[in-house]
Amino acid sequence: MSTIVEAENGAPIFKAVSSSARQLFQLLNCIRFAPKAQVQISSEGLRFAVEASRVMQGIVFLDKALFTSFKFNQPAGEVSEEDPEFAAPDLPNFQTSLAALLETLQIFGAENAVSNRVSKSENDGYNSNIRRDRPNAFSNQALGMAGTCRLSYQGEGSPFSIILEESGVTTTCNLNTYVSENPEEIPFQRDAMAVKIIMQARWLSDAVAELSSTSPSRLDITAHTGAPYLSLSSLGHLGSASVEFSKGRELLETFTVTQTWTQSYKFEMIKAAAESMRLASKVSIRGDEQGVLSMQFMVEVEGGGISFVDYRFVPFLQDEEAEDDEYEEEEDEDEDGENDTQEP
Amino acid sequence: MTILNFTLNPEAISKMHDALVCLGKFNEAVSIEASQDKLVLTALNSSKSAYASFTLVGNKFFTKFHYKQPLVRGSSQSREKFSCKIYNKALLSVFKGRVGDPSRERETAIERCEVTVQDGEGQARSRFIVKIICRHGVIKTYRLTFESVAPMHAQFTKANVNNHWAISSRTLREFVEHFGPGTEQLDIYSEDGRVSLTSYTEKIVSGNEILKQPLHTTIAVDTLEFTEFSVEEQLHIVVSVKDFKSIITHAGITATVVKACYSRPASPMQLTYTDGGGVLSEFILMTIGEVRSKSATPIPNVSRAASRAVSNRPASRQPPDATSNSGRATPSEMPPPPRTASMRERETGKSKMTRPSPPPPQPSIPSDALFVPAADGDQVWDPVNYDDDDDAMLLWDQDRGEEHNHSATLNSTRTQQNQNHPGDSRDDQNIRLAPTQRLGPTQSMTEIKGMFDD
Repeated sequence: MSTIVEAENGAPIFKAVSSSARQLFQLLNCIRFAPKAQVQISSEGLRFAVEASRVMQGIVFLDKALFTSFKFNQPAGEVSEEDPEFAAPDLPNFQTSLAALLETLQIFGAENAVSNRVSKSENDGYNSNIRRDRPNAFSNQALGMAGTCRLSYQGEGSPFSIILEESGVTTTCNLNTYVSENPEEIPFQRDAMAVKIIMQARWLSDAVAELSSTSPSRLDITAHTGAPYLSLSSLGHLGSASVEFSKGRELLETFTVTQTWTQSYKFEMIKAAAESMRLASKVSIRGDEQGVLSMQFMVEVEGGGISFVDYRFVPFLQDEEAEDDEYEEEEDEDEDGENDTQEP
Repeated sequence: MTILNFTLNPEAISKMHDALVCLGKFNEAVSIEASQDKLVLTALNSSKSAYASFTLVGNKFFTKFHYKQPLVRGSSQSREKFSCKIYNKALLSVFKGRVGDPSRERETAIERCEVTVQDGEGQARSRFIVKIICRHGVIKTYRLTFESVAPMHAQFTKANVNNHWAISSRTLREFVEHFGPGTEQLDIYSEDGRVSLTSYTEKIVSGNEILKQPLHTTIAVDTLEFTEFSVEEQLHIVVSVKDFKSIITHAGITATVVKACYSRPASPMQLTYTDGGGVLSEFILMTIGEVRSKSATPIPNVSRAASRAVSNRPASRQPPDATSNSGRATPSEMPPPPRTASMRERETGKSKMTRPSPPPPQPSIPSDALFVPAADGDQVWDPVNYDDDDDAMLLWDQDRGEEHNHSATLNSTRTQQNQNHPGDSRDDQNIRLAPTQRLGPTQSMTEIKGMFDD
């Protein structure tokens, strides 16, 4: 790894300073499920896209609001060799190791999140705080101990460099960049949406955590026009489990479905988004006619406003009816839960 | 058809969870038995040496409890009880530690939990259905499969119980926390108003290094700590530390009084307590058949290096030389006469052979009446595998009394063991030999010194 001397090639394409690596880490950690990320730089921010087996895709957009300073010099006149299919062909983009990037970002400050992640175990009932990655009073952030994080990218072929400074210690990391692969995005038909739900992410997180205890391979998502409005169910070898959101109006901020919609997805994939579910405040779940599922998480990171993490999932083929009988109609429970005021 | 349905409040769910965690330490499956007024959760360990049961009283523990007697298949008679077996893992994931986590957000808190058991012939699905109703109408439903099998219960006859004590569960838990993780047995012994709880092992953890011997811990407690104490003096009762710990860990959750009843070694011990909230806990542990002074137990050598230095109190009672290593094995501390007398009557033939082996009680122990098979005849005592070191000990036992064979055996053992860990084997011999007066205590002392000089 070589040190980049900025003066040599003139102004770098991209240069940004963040007051802390923690927010960046938290967001990027959401899409940790694949080793490499496509990075695209624009004047609005950085876009990290990750995909697994062409059936799951995760996108994190680091808005420039997350940085205290953000400079982007559009490489004028440069002939872009990137695939024109990419959203903005002229924008610089490259591929880099996400794992290495995360590793770098957690050198300082972000270790809380990591240790939590490691110590998390499914059966550990004592450690089930689903919101544990939220800042607490003793995080470095709150204590004002965090240092700064500088990101820069000189231009095509040069490394993506991260300089972290904390209490006098400076770490410089240059991550190799690779030519983008530009895989096709999972097509989501916005005009043929079959279901759209906006709800608190914690409920989704709770539901997925609940179902994961049966170690299922598939997760079935069903949206009904009446109660139970939304149900998630799974079938494991010890039995089946389902979570229903039967009081649609209280639980679901937005619920639009024209007819009963059922799709099943690989449970492990959905679980890969668990980090986002914990972190996010709200989630928008959309499904199109072909069953492609889009989950958009609204994450409020401290000091950085709102960021979004997007996922898309390709469903299993719907040809087996065999398992359906396991999930018989559940009668609606009438009960008097307390109603918390809903966010607008 | 619905056989059973009951409702739990969040507090009961948490208690259920605690009970399941405890049962999980005994067996991977939980047997559930429902009857008119109660639900009984039981687990019997694989070696059938420990049995745990929690009785949940219908009208006390549950907010609603309804049991409908199922019909016996093929007849119109109804069954008194319904029983089934479910994997503990499955139940634990349902009743996981949801309550008691203060940092958990209140929005997803549980309001109640409704359990329905459906069983029947033909079309009906046999499922253990748990419906957890959370705030905002989030309903989590689990449908667990179960195995319809009658549980095996251990029986404890109080008739010939002559020893019993009771102590606060919290106090007991404090004691239990001191027992080293590698130890296997727990010895309970009382003399002159003091009770000694000693955790030790007869095995070396790994390799032959003496330092790998787990900690031998003795806790001496005044009998005044007990709320009730009536135990035969100088009686050694040995149970498995692991089982005992599992029980006390659970008992310590609530402040209650743990009551123990037992008669003599190789007979079961019963531990009971209630939590006041409708849970009756009962455990039956097999105690290990006698005995130390006779069967050269290798434990003392553990203690020599480790316990001497570490264990808090026992040192004062131990003579410092090699013949008396730990409280239990010492002839001086524990005169054989009282025990041999009591032992003789039971110790006919085979029980002798088995005594020095580690925790799982042997089939030959005269306690066959302990666990009564519910229905099937296949639930018999499993044969026990004797480890190599057990064989060696058996050898010594057999030689007991045959003086002419004695030295030969010892020699062979010695040569064998010397290669591995000279210190240990010498100790063994000392212990072993002490009663026979073959070698004086001083000899071993010199040998030990030699070891350290090396």
